[in-house]
Amino acid sequence: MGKGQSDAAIIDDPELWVDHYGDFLYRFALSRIKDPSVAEDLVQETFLAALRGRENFKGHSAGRTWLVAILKHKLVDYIRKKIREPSSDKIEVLTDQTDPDFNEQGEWQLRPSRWAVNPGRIYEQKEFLDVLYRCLAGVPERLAEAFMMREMEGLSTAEICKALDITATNSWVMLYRARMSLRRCLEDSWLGAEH
Amino acid sequence: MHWMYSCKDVSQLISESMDRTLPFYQRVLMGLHLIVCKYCSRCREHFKAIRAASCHEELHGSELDASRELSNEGKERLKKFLNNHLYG
Repeated sequence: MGKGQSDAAIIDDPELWVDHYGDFLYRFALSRIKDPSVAEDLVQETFLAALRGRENFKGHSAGRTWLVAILKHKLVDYIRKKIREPSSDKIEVLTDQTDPDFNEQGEWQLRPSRWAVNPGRIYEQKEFLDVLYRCLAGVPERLAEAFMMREMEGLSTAEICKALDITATNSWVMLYRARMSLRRCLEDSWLGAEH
Repeated sequence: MHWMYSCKDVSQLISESMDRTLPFYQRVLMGLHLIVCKYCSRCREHFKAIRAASCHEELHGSELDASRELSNEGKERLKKFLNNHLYG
């Protein structure tokens, strides 16, 4: 940035957003989807959501990080609509009754494979990230929402409980189901998994 | 809960441990299970990889293609849009 203004001051003045954050958000959107006009639309939707939720920006993260978190929600919404994955809660119900991962004794039915990723350098694995976004778009909406609040926005479970009006136990179950659903989807879709 | 956890229990505890501090006895029993069960260890690695990919991505803006920029027209459109919502 380097224009002598604090992040909080820039967030306070939406007229500065395009010049300060526009290009970064645009590049970020283009790293996940290829269409420049869609990327521009998503940046616009991000700014609009940020404008409406400015009072939620508490300054505990950088302004850019906050905007990127909003953009990630927009990207997942866009991908969800595009691939028309059923975003009902069917999967949620399914995991209650017949868990595809475990047998009745609670042993792995579909054994986790070894993944060729280094979590410390995961940002270099573009293919992994692409698949992660597609998988996230297929996770039931409410689970995906809890997951994104936790892992993309870094909210505590207490904050998630308040936002979604759920108990702490519910939030842990929802986050578990979201992670398992993503893990399974990545295992099925990502070529880096060694079966 | 039973003193010996199943893989299903442990996978739940791995996830929960990412969101809260587990009681001591649960941490110990989960740790013992993870020593002997490579599949649950992999599950933990998978959860870690998913977390790393989800939360650290924006820290590596230099990885993005710096040659891609909004056009001047695009920037003007966005500014106008924001102004309309601010003052319109």
